[in-house]
Amino acid sequence: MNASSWDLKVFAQSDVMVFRVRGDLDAEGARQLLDLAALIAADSRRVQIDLDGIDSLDEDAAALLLFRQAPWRQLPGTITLRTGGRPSREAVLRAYARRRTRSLANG
Amino acid sequence: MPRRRLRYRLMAAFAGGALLLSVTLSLLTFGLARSYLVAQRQRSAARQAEVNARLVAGALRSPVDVTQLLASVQSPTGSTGLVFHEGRWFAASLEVGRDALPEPFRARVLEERARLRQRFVLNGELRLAVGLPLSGGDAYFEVFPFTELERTLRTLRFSLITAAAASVAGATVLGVWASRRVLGPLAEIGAIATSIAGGQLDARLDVGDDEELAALATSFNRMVGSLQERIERDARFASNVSHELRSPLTALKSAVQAMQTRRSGLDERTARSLDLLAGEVARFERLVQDLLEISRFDAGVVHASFDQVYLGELVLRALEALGDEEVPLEVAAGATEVVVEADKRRLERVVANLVENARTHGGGVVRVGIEADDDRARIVVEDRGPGVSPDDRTRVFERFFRGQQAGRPSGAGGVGLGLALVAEHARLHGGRVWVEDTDGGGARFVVELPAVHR
Repeated sequence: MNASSWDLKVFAQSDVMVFRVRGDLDAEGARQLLDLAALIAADSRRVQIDLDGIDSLDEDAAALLLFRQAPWRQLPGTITLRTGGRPSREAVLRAYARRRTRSLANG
Repeated sequence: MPRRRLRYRLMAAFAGGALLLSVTLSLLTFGLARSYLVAQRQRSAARQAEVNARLVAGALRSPVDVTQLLASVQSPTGSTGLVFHEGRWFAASLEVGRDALPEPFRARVLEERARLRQRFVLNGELRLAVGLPLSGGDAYFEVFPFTELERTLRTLRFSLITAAAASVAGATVLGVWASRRVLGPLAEIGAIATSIAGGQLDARLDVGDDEELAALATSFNRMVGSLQERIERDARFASNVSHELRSPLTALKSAVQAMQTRRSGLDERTARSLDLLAGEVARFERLVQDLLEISRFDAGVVHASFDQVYLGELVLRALEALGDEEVPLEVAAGATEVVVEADKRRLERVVANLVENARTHGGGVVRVGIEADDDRARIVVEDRGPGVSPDDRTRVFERFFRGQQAGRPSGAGGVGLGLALVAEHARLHGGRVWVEDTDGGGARFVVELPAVHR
């Protein structure tokens, strides 16, 4: 897995603030990204994290973005996750598989 | 203005008819009874006044105290006598004196010597005055009250109103009973027709023992029977054809796969033809699979295997299986952990069919989304097409629907089974599907399913 090296482009699309991420995103990067998104969402705005152009996505990062815990969970605005392209899809599928396994293990 | 339900109209007709009839009869009865009673009262008053007048005339031939004479006159009905004697007025009561009598009536009796009867109102009460001329310019008057008669008429009026109200109430109850009895079979036919429309083709009407209804029920059942027979025959045909096509299709597919392993050794033109053939074989295989699946729904032999799945994971796997990395999935906040009870193969097919529909008829997929609120989860597929016209938004989910879809190319591939299967699968999962416009003018297909939890 590559080290976290990602760049972010933020722009408004209609009434949604789009965070377009490129590069390699790990868990630490995902935390920073969610902190940034939460700043916008705290203002009751809609945010979309767009992972279409990402080169690699850490499984932990995918889990963080997908199953957001506090303090990113309860925000006045909403954070939508957009996954396109193989790296982001595979990472999200792995995060779901891990989640499913844990759910089964917990009964 | 929308017409009220037949049941209410029937009840209203009964109640209205009863009201009209009872009011007419009551008015008629009251009018006749009143005329008769008043006439009878006037006749008896005239007779009594005649007798009393003769008595007074006889007594006046000799000197007499007229006031005492009047007091001695019989008045069993509470009447009051007055005498005009030698230019003076005498009355048996202070309440009813000369001035109580109507002036024209009084004048006609005294001056024209006419025997008269007249009704008039005194102190707010109806009275009858009888005037009889006596010899020597004298006259006898008697004023009769109508108190007793009015009491009788009041009682009669109350009785008639009560009877009319009771008739209306009775007719309303009768209307409810009759409407239930008459409309019961219609409601049953409606319920059975709804069941048949919902796919329960073996539903039939109970023929019963009513001759007219039995004829209707028999005709209805015969019609449904022939409809069922035809549908089952069509379904059997489709199923048999699909089964028969599977073997040659498998052989064809194997041959194409074998040729594809040697694709690198083929010249460009042959390789292109091979790709075209492989695409058509794959399309043909999907068509046969769709036909078989539809046949299973028709035959009622769909064996679903439900598991609890993350909807996001299932949709993502369906997109992966399509092999197109360009289709983006947007998972809304709160929808990432939504779980549904799903037959995975069939629900993945729903996603695949919606995406294929967007590609074939909608100019490509704009986005696939997952949304959730309360106890519902939704799969959303938006396309770039011109949308689906409101007239076609239900028909687009019918089998083999090939209509012009608001400018969408109707003949651009597909046979019109994909969306019909989406609708069948959505129903199988306890959900539903619909299509609406997007803000950008494309179509948004929405499959809504019950969520197990979020």
